Amino acid sequence: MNRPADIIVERLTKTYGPLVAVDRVSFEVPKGEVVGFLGPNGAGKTTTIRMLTCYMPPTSGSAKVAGFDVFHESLQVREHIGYLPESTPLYHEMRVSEYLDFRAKLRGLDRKTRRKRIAEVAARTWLTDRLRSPIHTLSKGYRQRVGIAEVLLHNPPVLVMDEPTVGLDPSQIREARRLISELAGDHTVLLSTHILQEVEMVCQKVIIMAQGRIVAQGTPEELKNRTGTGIRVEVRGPADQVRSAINAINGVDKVEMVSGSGAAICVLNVRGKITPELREAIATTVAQRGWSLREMRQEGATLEEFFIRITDPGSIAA
Amino acid sequence: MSRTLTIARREFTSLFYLPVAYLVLFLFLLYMGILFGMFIFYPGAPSELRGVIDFSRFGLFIIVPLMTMSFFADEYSSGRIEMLRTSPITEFQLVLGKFIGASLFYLVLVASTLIYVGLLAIYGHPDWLQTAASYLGLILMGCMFVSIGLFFSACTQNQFVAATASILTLGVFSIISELSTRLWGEISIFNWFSIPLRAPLYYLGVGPHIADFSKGVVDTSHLAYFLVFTGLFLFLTYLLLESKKWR
Amino acid sequence: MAEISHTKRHWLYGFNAVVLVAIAVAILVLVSYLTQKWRTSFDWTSGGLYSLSGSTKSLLKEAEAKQQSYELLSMYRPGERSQRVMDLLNEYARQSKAIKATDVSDVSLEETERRIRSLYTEEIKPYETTIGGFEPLAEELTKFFKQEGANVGALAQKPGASEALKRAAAETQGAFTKVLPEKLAYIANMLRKLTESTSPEWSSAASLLKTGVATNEVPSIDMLETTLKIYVDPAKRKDALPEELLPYFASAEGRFKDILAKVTAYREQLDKLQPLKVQEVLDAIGERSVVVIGPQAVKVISHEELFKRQPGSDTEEEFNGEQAVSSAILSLARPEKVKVVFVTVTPQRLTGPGGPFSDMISTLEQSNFEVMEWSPPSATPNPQAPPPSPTPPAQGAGVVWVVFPPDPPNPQMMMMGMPPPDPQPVIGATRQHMAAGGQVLFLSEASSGMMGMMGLSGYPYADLVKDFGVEVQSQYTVVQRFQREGQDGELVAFVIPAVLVQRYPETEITRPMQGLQTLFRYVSGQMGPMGMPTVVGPAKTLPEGANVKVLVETPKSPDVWGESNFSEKMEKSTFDKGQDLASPLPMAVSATRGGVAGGGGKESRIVVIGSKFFAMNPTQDEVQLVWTGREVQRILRYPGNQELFRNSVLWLAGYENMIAVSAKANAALRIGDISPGTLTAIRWGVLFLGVPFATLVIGGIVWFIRRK
Repeated sequence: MNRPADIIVERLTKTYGPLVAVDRVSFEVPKGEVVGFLGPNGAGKTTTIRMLTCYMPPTSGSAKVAGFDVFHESLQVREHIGYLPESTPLYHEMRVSEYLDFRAKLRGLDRKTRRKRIAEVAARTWLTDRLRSPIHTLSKGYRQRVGIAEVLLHNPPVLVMDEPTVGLDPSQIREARRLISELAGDHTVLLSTHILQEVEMVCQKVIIMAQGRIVAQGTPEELKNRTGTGIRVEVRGPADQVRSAINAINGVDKVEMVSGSGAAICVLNVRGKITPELREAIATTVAQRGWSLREMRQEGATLEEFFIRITDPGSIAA
Repeated sequence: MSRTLTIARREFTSLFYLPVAYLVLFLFLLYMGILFGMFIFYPGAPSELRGVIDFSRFGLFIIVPLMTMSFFADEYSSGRIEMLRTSPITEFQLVLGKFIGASLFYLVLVASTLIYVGLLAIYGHPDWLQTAASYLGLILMGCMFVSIGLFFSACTQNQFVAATASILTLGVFSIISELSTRLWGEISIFNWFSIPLRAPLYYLGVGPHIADFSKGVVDTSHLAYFLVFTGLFLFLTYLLLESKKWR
Repeated sequence: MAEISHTKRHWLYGFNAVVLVAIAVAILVLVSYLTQKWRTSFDWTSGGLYSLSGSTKSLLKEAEAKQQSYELLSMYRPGERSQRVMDLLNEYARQSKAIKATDVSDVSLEETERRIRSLYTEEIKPYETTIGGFEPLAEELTKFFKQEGANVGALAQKPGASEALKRAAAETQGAFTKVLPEKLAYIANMLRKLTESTSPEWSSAASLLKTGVATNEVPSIDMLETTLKIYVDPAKRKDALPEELLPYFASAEGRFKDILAKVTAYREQLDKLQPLKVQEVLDAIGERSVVVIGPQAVKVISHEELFKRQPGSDTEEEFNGEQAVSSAILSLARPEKVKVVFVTVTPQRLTGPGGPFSDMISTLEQSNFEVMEWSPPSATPNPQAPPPSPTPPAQGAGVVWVVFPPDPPNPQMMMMGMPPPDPQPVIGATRQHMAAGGQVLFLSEASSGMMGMMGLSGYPYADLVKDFGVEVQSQYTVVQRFQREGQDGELVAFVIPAVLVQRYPETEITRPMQGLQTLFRYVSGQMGPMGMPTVVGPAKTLPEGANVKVLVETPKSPDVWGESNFSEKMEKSTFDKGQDLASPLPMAVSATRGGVAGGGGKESRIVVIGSKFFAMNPTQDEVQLVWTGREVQRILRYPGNQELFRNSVLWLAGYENMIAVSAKANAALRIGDISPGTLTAIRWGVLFLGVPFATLVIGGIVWFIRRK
């Protein structure tokens, strides 16, 4: 990871009176990466984004976007950023083309460039046949596309999108995700969302915020692995005996009874340092006792699980 | 500057796509038409627009706020302000652009009254330069009203509140001069003010300033009055937007 | 980068914003103040409806320089006239800080009255002391009469008093101790009522003392004095008083004399009171008037002065406001009026109502002049004219004389052997007047008409004007050739002794007249044209110190020339090279000469104009009536005539700054006739319904198009 970072955030803080909305947040988004910005509602995502996009100044700390300071070089930051706010506010009385033209002009594009870029982004967001439609006649999905199109108009190095897929139907969501994935490489994307699959699908990196702080960041795999893992074992045999037998194996920390207590077949969850040797030891133990091993598989941790664990107020306080 | 004009152009053209613009035009032309038809347009009356211009403020103080109420309030309530404020334009460009857009639309209102001048030209002999002075006054007064309307629109995200506050303020501006003199002795409440307040209050009102324009006299002090008040409220609007950053 | 804490920054920015707002408001106040102080205005009306004339402007400048301030109050009720008046007064206020214009509805009448009274406090003082002095006098009189009454009553108590004495004594005692004190108390009470109010009626109080109240048998001071005189005169006592009391009153004569002296002194004091100007002013304030409150005095301009109506015609009134107001300010600024004397050789009736110059004279009077006329004793009496007198009513410095050329004598009188009018007394008087520093406007005429026939060739005052380097070539008649349609439709040329001028050399007198037509005309007399225009120009060699400026020059045209023998061929005259003078011809000059003895070292001024009757009242065909759609406006065809005369007099009087055009278009042009049907159609079809609803239709169309 030696590529220069397009977004550098250092100890960014925003307070509203006594309320600390964002608390000393630091992270970096490397050039060309799509970074997911996760967190429950009220975690401070939107506030952080608003500070990055110069909508509001930070209380303290600093942030650089595309090499410019958000506080001191606000105008340059705004030139180099494409920002799609949360609810995609548009001028409903305008036609799509008029609106895009207006936004492109605000970005300072000349007439020729404007025409070219509008055609390009419209094609990219499947809007070409709706360019003449007044925005108020468009469905939510189309409006969202208009919002995305507008963000891309001036081909900014940095894109910041606040929940871009909210309100879209599943097929639209798929399209949108594909589009965002395509943007990676050319653009640095900071994608705020609370849909975990989205992050897994499109993001190279995830930053999780809760209660104004960053609670975790890394690639989705890294985060998944950080969740404790286990082995799911399904055995035909007396549940209590099976449990105590496995528990006695060296290297097993804990055995949880998933189902089948007192029945013929029981399902157990074995936690501990998972190694191939451990799996063999379990298999051997079951076989030695004359129970039959119906199934044994390593449980893959979900990001969701991790997210729920990590954003739990109790765990943050810990 | 081009970004300012971009904002201005959008505001101006968008108004024509919204019903409120036609409502404003309708009310304005209805009011001015009644003024003109009743008080100016009859045989033997002086063929000048004086009365219409003089009294236009008693319609404009309602009509202009209807036009400007949404200019900022709607941006706040719809969240578009976030999009505008994160665009590479300064607050000053934003305010100026909106002001130019609204003023251009106001010019359309004013231009529609040229119908009356046409009627005067057919049935009388209007004095063209005097008419020009009247229009200059009408335009300057409108710009001042627009800037006050924009200021109140920037104060709140509720259009209704913005309109009410502008109407009240413009109403005070429209009538304070007359209140400070005509009714002075007759309404006891105004005796609460001491005499030294009378001159400033009289100066504050729009009435004496538009009166000279409407009769065909261009006085530098009246020019300055309109320009200074327009500038002041634009500046206050700018400060208000700017202050959202640090409040 | 130094980190600033959030709260600190919050306050810093907040403070900054407050400072900025404060600065913005300060700039607003400053700019407002400065632009109010140094304001310039541009009148965009083509008629200059809201421009004050140069004369008014310089008058206001003068007032400002003298630090005099004037308040102009319009007493008009709201309406078209009120607006016209207020427009004008506001222009005054705009022009000068010395002027404040107020609509009457702004201030209460009491306030106005109080202010007017405060200007006349000096005048009221003698009234205060006199009327205030009545009460002590009344007390003294009461005491005196009560004492005397008691004394008389005592007589009746004396042993041996007769019945007649008793009756007489009782009667007198009653009158002295009861009736008289009661009446005195009544008067004192009335006076208190009249004077102890916010608008004390001093005049009424004084007249109460002077005349008493007849119905209540309240005596005046006069009556009191007369009554007391009876008691001090033995003869009158005998006639008027009961015989029985005579001895007593004889003994009391000394005391009565003392008290009479006091009453007489008081009566004399009362008689000395001058009529109150403040009362006159307050009485003159009407519902339709303009009050000009000056630094020392007040002038009320009546409705008739502001809105003039021409006598004997149905024309609408004209607005004469600027002249009236400026004159009022001028008369307050310079309380003494400048006298203008119309001087003629034989008695004429030039001034007074209905006189031939009445229009001109009223214009002069409004410009703060007093016009009179004078002629020396003459052989040709005129019963209608003011009686001639050997001494002029006014002459010398500060007086302007208008010297007319001698009139042609009555031919019948000539035949009866009467001598022609002798200009010598006028020449002598004029010379005296000029020597004393007086200024003169000389009017001259061509001598080729009647005068020539009478053998009175030459301008009699040529010598007087020659001192100033002015030459009157009265042998030439200025004529102009016109064309008119003959009987068979052909154009026939004819020549008349009159000339029309519209362009003038740039001089103080004529500068504001550019473009205004002046007609130098003649008057048809029994024996042909009279007062024909003539050539007046600078002499070839000017005396030392003289400075002559040509005021009027005829147009340069082959149709205009100076005819040397007009009376012979009249209308058929032609220009004869060698004999006649080619145009342009000078017709009027102003001339100055520095430091003439008696003029106080100041330059003395004359104006000589080669026309006798140009300033006469305009005849019917010189007035144009214009129907403006609502009213008829009376427009002078030749407004230059009056201007030239008035400006010349103003210049002579040293009122150069009052010279300006006074006549102006008064109102904007009006909407012409519209038939009631058309009017209703336009009002409803276009103004009230058509245009407003058209916008809604357009809105609907736009909405429909935008939907797709």
